[in-house]
Amino acid sequence: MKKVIGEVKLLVPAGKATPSPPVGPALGQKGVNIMEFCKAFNAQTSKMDGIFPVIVTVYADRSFSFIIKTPPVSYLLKKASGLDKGSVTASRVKVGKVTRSQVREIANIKLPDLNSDDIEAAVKIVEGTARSMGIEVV
Amino acid sequence: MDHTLFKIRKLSLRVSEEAKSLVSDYLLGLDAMGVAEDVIEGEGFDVSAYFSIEMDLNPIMVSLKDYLLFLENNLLGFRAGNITIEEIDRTNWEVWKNELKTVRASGRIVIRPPWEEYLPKEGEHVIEINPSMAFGTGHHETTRLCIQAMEEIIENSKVKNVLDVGCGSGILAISAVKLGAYEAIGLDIDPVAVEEAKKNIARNSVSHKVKLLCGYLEGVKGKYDLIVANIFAEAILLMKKELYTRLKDKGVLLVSGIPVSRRDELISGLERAGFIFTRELKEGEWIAVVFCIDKNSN
Repeated sequence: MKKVIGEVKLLVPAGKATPSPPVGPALGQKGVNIMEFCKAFNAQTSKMDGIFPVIVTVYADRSFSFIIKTPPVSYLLKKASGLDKGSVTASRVKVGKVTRSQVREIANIKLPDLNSDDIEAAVKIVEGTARSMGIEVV
Repeated sequence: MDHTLFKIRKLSLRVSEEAKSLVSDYLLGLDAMGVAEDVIEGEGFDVSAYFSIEMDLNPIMVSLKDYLLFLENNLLGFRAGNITIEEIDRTNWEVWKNELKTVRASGRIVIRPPWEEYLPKEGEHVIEINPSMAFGTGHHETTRLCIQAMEEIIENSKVKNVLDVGCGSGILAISAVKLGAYEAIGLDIDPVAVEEAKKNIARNSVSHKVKLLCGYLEGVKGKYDLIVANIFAEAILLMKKELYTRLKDKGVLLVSGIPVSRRDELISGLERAGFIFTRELKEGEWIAVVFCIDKNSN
């Protein structure tokens, strides 16, 4: 087993990774050859459409591996409530709404990534995330 | 050029293990461009989120603090440290560059970063490329495969002009003229790449032979003896008609950025567009493929 020195999560458009931010700063700081990552990521995702979180594991010898994950809860909540980019605000101001069934749906999507099969716990996490983002659960 | 391309804000905080994924996920959804989780031996994890310099981080801070409070009340053993925000520029994160050494790309081409010395042997050309935010340092298999193929093509046929589609650092266009092509045009849609390519061209004293264009292939005029495109399969297949139009009769198309697994798909796609498969080169998991065209046979 190679020693892991860190993990980097990036939201990158499929097939379009470039050495500019976020890839450059996040991976370059760990000594990963950015070009090598971009080439590998683009080759693997160029058939997909949209933006995907990718988790890059960086090893002590500067080598890396990566897996493509389901979108973050906060991203799914914004999509479900129809919020635009950047409209997130303090919890005191309600900026959007999601229904309970949408929350459950998101919890279901995220279940594999939360290392749990407890749907109620996942729902609670999603609800808490919504609250902090100023999204009301109705 | 726009200096904001080189500046970025980093928001960091230390959290305990059970919360790291939740916190980084949350930040990613708040329009962070990327999030990193670093292992801090015995102390948990540093979560760092990178934001565009133009973004107002105040609402994000309020929202994040609220979320941390929620986690504190609902997640057993959760701990979070202070949140810090700093402005960083690209020099702070180019650590990876330090690892890069001089590399032989082909029989006659050697690529070196500016901080390394290399005394060329007879017949060798040394190209100085500053690793930057543009693709092409000579350290990727696909770059070397393209240079090896170009060396052979230029040696064996008369190549007057070369078009490098997706030129990045300009490494292939520069190599082409060093190997004997009369002139080359480097094309890229990324203005940062074009800017870097310009510096590399000057560094290698070939400004009179290599010209640069920022934009798409549709905007390119003229016909070329050799077109090289080291991008990836979809991009190449999307451009196949324009590539065919821009190639002279009996001209050569050299493509790379192709993993072995995509070989058949790429070759059949280009063959359907009228290209004739000539040969392929392989290194590791990557290939470069050479095609030609014969307009009389179509």
